[in-house]
Amino acid sequence: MGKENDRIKPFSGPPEETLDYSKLEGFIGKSSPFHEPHDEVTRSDIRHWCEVMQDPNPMYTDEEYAKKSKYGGIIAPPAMVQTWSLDDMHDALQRFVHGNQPFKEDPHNQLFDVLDSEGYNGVVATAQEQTYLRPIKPGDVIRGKITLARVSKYDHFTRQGIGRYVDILYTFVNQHDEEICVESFRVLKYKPPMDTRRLYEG
Amino acid sequence: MAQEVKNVYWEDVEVGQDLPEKSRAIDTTLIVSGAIWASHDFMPVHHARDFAQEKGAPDVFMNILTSNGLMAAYLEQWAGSEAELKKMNIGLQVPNFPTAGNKMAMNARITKKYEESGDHLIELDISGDNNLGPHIVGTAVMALPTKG
Repeated sequence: MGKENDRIKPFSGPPEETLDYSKLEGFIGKSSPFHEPHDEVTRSDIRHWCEVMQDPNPMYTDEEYAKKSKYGGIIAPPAMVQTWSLDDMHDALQRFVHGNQPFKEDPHNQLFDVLDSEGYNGVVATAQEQTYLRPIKPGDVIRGKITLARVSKYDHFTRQGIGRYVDILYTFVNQHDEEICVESFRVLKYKPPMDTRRLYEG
Repeated sequence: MAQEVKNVYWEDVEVGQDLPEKSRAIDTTLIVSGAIWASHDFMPVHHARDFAQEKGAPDVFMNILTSNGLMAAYLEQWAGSEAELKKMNIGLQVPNFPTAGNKMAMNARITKKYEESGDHLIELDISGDNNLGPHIVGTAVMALPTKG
């Protein structure tokens, strides 16, 4: 083998550890408290959604029709469930533009802070699974909590650039503490800027 | 004003059946109004082109809640107003960008038909494809009304 070995080029060395996982693992399995929504569920929220999705289902917008259904009145499209839990405009811009997370004590926000400070400050959602358990009605107050389920131990090389996947679990309840949806959600926290424009040409 | 609604009944569908394809034009108006107006998502990559480009994207792109909502509406419109969406499980691949002429073609195929806890259910493979390739790949579960 002696001479032949000279012809075999070594693999590049083991990947350098780019982020100390012990800074992240303490947040795994921890949950936020339930947070109050910015607003209760309204008919206009529902109508806005149906207008954009071009969903003519009368169960969502036609009170007369929906009254005769088993729900006794209009309901919201189940896929809307997360709408009332997202940051309001101010908090969203603070979070995404100024790196100033709302609810700093929430485990997932603490984890995002660590990732941001290590340069993984881009974020993109890559997957979600929602299981719908109960209908949502106008007047409902939908509260959500977030449990941090998992984070990649090593870097992934993706279209967006180098990043870490984060899996979080949502639990949504209404004002009667009834679960209306459980959701798993995966985001990629990545290191921008990496210009991906050429990848998407043509 | 009650609308005329056509329902699909559980007895009438079968495993292997394809739903008719539907397409939706993907433009900036849909992306921005889907994020802000419909799903209350103010992440600027979904409404501010400069911000999206700073983050490495060529343009604003659709948020996951709108993608999910469009697929859910596609399924519900096929099934009718008495159907109930039980589960949506989606993975995103290439983003929905507002490229001129871009559209998302939505398809679904019934993969399973079964009863559970009194519900008459179907499971579907779902997909949404744009000008770059697959945007959404996933599965859904719906309860359909029965004739009985």
